[in-house]
Amino acid sequence: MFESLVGFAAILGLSFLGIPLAFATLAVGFVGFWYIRGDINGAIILSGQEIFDFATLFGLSVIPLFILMGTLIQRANISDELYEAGYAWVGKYRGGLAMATVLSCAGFSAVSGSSLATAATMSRVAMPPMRKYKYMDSLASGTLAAGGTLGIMIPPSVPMIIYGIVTETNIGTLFIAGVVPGILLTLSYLAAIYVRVSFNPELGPPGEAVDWAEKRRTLGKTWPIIVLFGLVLGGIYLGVFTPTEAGAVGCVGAFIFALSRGRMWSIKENIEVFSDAVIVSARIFIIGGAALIFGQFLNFAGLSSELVDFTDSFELGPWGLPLMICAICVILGMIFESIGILLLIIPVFLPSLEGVAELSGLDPDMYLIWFGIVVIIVVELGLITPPIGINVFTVKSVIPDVDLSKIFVGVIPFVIADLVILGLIFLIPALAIGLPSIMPSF
Amino acid sequence: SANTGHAAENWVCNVFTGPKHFVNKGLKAWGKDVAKATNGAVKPRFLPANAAPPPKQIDGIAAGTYDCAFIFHAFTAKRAVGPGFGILPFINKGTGTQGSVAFWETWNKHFAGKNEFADDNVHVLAQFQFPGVHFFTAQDKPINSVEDLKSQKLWALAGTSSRTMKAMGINHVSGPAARMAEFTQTKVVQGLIGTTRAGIINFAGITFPKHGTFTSRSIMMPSFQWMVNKQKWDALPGNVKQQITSVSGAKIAKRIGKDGDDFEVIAEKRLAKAGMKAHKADPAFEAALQKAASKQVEAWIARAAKIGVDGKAVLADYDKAVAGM
Amino acid sequence: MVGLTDIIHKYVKWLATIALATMMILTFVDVNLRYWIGEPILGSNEMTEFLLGTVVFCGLVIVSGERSHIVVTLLEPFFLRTIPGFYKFLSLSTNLLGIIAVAYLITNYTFFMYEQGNDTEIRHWNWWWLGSLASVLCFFAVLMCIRSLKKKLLGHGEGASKFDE
Ligand code: NA
Ligand code: NA
Repeated sequence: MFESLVGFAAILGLSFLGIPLAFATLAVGFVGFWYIRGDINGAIILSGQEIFDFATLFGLSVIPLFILMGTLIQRANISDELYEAGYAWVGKYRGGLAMATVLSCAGFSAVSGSSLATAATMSRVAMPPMRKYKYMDSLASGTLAAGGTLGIMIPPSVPMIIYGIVTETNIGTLFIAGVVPGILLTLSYLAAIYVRVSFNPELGPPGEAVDWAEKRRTLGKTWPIIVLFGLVLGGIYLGVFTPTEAGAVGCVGAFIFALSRGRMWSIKENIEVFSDAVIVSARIFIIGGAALIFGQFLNFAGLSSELVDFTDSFELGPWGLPLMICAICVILGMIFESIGILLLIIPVFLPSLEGVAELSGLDPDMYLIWFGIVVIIVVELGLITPPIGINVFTVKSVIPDVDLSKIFVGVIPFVIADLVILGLIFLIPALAIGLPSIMPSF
Repeated sequence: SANTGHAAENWVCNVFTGPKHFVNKGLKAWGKDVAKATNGAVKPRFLPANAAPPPKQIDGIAAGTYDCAFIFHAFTAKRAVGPGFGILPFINKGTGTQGSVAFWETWNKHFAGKNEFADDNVHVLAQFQFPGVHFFTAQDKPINSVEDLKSQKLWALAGTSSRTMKAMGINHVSGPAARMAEFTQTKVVQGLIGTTRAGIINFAGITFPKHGTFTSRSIMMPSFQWMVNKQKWDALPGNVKQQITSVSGAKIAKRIGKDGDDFEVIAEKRLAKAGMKAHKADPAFEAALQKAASKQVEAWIARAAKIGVDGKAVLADYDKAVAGM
Repeated sequence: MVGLTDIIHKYVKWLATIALATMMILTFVDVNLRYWIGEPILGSNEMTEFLLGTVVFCGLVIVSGERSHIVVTLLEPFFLRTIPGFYKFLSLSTNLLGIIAVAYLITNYTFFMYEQGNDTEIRHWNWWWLGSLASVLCFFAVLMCIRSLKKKLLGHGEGASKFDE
């Protein structure tokens, strides 16, 4: 336990000094493993292996593809149109532009599997109008960082795919299970904005009113999103392709939309768009590979078994145990991003969870689906909580002149909204598993 | 959990299937046996999570990442000839326990002395087998002819099963067992070739198959070896080696073989309850499969001859050992 | 150096585009062949794994040139006020050391895979083939990082420190 805690502290310390997160994690994982095993050669091979294997793991091929799909959507101007539609419907209210941001993030989430890509894309789209209407930075940037997290709850979702692979649960079912919680999160984010601007109207002045014809026109223009969402989910649901193959099919669909709008015809633009997705992916992969090295250090140091013994010792049962795991993941989520949590923490607790699944009164498979949705919310929290909130950094990097601490302040209402929804899904598991339970299977 | 690395008596063991798999029971029991037999001179410790992908289990030992691990013999073909007979098509007509012990005894008789893994920095402690793999389908009609294979989308386990399908000219998707679920969850494929009943429950989902077809000899017995870092082994005094050997080998093989069979019986009941119907394979179908698979057997016999082993005698010994139990 | 890395940058972007586009098309074709005529591409998942590795290490080259790794910039304003010189030095040196470490680990591991004879299960492609490409790309990444100390690549600054812009 002690070595592991030192490891966590070291990653925090080094990354706070401005050392790239991936390299800080790599260094600590490497040294930690070397110390535990007492063999530098083992540490060298293991580190190379973890990075190389992670970069060639079939299940992760969805990462660049679901990011590319979003980039293509952006090139086809569909993300701008989403924002226009959101603005037309709610822009005139106090905080309305922030609400439009949340709605367009939700729409974009239906065609993107990554929260980072959602946050980055919508920051480029939605920040300029919010600046124009003199929105306070904390509300505007906080909304973008939190809105981006919808990207992984509303299907398709890369973390859900990884959860499905790790726990051997049905990814198609997970996707369906994410729909209602995704809508609930969207509504709760709207509510969070409403409450905030009620107390402090200066945070988000209202925009201009838009007539009904314009409302209908802009909404009508979002049909490509619905088509692509239907293509991806329908194809999975009907057994045409697997969830990991869905990224490629979705990209082809998005590519065709871009072509139909006169984009992506030049080689130059293709290179720009594809290499953009490659770059965003590489940043995630290098952090993920480093996190796995650190994870092996924790594995060999025995932290994982100590955590399991610790939680098992309480004999918590089917609702207490997930709550405990959530608490642990929220704490770890302060440092790790999504893939780290899913690959390092979940497998460790899986046997205990399966042990209590029968006691939950739910179908054991559905219990793991429910827990998957719970974990995704926890992962979302990790993406926006300090000190290491990847979404917050993403927004900051797209809008460099915003103060980082202001974004962290700005996400507080959304963190509360996340926690409320998390509580609701604990109290009423049917919110997550109701829809997949009534869907007919083929 | 202090510095457990270099103290010779601590062996860090990796179980790539994760802590849920039935193989843990037998291996952890072996761990206790070793500690007891050596009076605590050697204490195996099991990692809570896997430290290397399935094909790279030997690599992890060679690199010094951990000390003990087991590997599927589909992944050792380049390194050694000997254990390859375990995964040859249609060799076993008995149970997992019979196959497991027969595999160890036959390998020990013909190949232990060949030291085929000496270059790989591992010492083989045991060979063992899981119960054989068979044919399953989500369609309304069981797979019981070559035509049936052609009439549905198939997934076949990489290695023996996939090679047999390829030799018959049957299109299929292939990959490791852990990736089966992706194709069965939403029924992208309907037919599964190369999984046990337990594998169905673990990977494909209990409600997936409507029918299972069981050949009299399994198309493939999943075969493994349990091994330890050779330097760590060589560093032990002779009597400790002997103590460990006495609780390894056939003892591991029997234990894991039996756990596999027990698990298969449980899986059989659960699958029957979930509505799967079991069928005996039509002899004509089995003969067609065997014919297509025979090239793999011939190729292995030829490889064995190159290291001076009579492959046919090996297979006959295995058969005899299975029958003799 | 700048001229050389400009060329590397250009062609690595090409390679990245081709790899990702091939990945997309390969899976799309595989899905359609399987669904419509029941003839999937045997071992397509292994091809995807090779393409994914190419994509990731190409990306690493460009990220290194941009120095756009994800960085915790929470305390950056404070350090830039109090110890600006040391902070910048630490950032630049760890960017370089980090990518040198990755290049070493990957190259070393490629030799290891070669010795071990690691290959894919179905098509029996040797992993050291991809390892060699990855090693070369990591070496390029080191060059790109050295270049970035002189003249940083512009473009995709997400996640990066902003002190030298
Ligand atoms: Na999504
Ligand atoms: Na966090």
